[in-house]
Amino acid sequence: MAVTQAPATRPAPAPGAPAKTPVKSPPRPVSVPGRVRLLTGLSLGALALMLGSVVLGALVAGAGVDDIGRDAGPQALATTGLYRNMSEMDALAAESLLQGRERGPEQADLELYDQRRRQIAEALLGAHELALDNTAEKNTITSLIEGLGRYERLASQARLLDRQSQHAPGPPPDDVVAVYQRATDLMHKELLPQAYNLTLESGTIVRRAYEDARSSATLANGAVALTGVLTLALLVVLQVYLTRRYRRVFNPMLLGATALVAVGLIGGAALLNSQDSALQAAKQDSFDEVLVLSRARAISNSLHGDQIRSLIDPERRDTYNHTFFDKSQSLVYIEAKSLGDYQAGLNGAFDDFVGLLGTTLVGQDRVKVFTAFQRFQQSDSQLRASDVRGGIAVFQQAAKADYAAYDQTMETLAKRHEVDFNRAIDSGAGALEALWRWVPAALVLAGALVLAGVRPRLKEYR
Amino acid sequence: MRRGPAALLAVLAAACLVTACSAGEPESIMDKDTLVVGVRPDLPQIGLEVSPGSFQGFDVDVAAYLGKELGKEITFVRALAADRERLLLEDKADLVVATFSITQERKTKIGFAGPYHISYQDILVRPDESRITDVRSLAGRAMCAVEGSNAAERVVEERGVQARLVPAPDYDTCLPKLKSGEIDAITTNDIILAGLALRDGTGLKLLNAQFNEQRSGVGLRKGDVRGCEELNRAITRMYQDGTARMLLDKWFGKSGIDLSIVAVPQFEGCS
Repeated sequence: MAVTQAPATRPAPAPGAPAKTPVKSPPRPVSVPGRVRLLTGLSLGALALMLGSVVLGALVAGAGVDDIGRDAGPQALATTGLYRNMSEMDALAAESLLQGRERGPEQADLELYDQRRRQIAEALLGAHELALDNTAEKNTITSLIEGLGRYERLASQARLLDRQSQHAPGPPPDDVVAVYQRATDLMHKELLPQAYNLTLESGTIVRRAYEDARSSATLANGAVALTGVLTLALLVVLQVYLTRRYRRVFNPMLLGATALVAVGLIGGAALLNSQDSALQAAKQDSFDEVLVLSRARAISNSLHGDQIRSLIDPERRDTYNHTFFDKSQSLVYIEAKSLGDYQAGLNGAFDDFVGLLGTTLVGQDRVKVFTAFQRFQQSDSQLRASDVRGGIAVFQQAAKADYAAYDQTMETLAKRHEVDFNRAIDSGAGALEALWRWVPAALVLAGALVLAGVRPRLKEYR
Repeated sequence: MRRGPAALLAVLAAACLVTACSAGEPESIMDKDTLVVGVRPDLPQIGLEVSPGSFQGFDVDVAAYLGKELGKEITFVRALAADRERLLLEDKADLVVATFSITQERKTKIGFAGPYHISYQDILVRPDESRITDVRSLAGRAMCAVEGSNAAERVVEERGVQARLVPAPDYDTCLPKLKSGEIDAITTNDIILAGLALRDGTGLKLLNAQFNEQRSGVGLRKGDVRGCEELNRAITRMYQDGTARMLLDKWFGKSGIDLSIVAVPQFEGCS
């Protein structure tokens, strides 16, 4: 180190202090306490700056953990269920219309439906809190609330007409279908896309909060490192100066202060670093996965819808087949000219797949989800190979269950990642708590030790 | 101790290097003041070069709106179907707004914001045609296959419909062939067909068969997540403030395309 190599005959000029002492004549005694005071002041000043950086760093990091872990993150996660709940609400409405006379009491019939509605309201409220001053997001929420009201009106109208018709179980009369058609068109063409976009936008808000948190954490880390190294250097200079001037071996108090500062620097940097990696784990390994899985579930849900619609609406089968193909490709992409090609190609190795699921999932998760996806696509290819009647049979016997199993696999995975997310956030918060508890105390103690170490030396001059 | 301050400075500089001073982000359209946008020069109502360097159409208006929302100046360049990817890959355009369908294959090379509009593949026939009613009835009939577009091939390959393909360099060449009876149908995005029919003015029929969904996105460089997110916000605003409805009415109101529902499309996502 530079300190030990310094020539023994001359005191080092303190940084910023003019080196005016004449070369040969010994310095006048009065300049010694002056220098000691100056060096002590500088050391304590640097120590105060370091303490400030640590406190500031902890505050900034704490705000980041709070924002991602307690506010924006959970709110964004709350909106991920929006698409599925809305889509399910529409499916429940359609199902109730098929029951006809054999329907139970109205209350039981609507229970699940009302539950979905409540969940939708909660998700929208969460999204609104997350939006803050983001007007496009707020307008989307307003538009969704307005659209859901319109949907409710149409769905109740269809339900009323359906009850009045007293039809046998099975497809309801045409006037009921016509009203329901308007409701489900509204849901699928206007509302569900907005719900999907809302989740994307929530992801954007969290991503930006995360980037902000990380770049200020990096700045705080840099400030702690900088002021820490400066403080250490000044303490060493002070120590060397005192040793030379007063011909003592070491000043134990100063030595203790130096050790404390070193511990504070290493500990502070390590804790800030560990909360930073906790934040990174929460965002990249958990939050992003949950978001991707929820998007994949939304797309798969409408994929399943295309499957049903291609069975009950033969006139538009080509369009539904195409969207089925297109959406499948967006989940797991392999080069293919037609759906048949695609489904045959899916039997290849898991490693080659890209697309929303292909690029996100790794390891055992990848195998599980992909196997379920393959099974779902296999029963779909059977369904398409049959005529309409046979197709409906395949749908009832296999395709429906395969979709449910595939969706369940993704749901389980998403839930696990959500647990991981909370765990990572807790570990980040734990690191910060340790930082608050130990590092400032160590630095304050170091300051006291510096004063205690220097005071007796200064007294010698009185 | 003389080397002290120098050593200290070196340490500080090193600390600075590994921490705060090394913050760098990949290039984004948001860092630029002027954006070069590729638009189609060859499609009436969508993107047409009316005089050298001057374009008009739906895509052109959309691009201008997005530029304004992002607070950027816009200059336009020609983007023929076959040039769209290359313009982005070779940095000759920042954005491509040119009926550029989002496909997973393209997404391996470039990024997409949007879609800003969803159209459908459709079929254009002569006014007196009665036998062609949907994509299946194209079997055995002659169809224009335009270079750089895969619309006609998709009918044959994806749908398995045995239509006869007659190659042509562009849609302008297809029109006289259709009217003379050399071919029986042209197939591509409905908005392209609507533009052709409008300009032709002899009552060519659009079937509204809507058999393939085409999601037109804004092409940009891969990895520009920030730019993509801002474009998505601007597209959302375009639908929310009524501009999208106004532009669709302006360019396709008289074309026979069904505009009863104009709603913000489901986005592809930026990451």
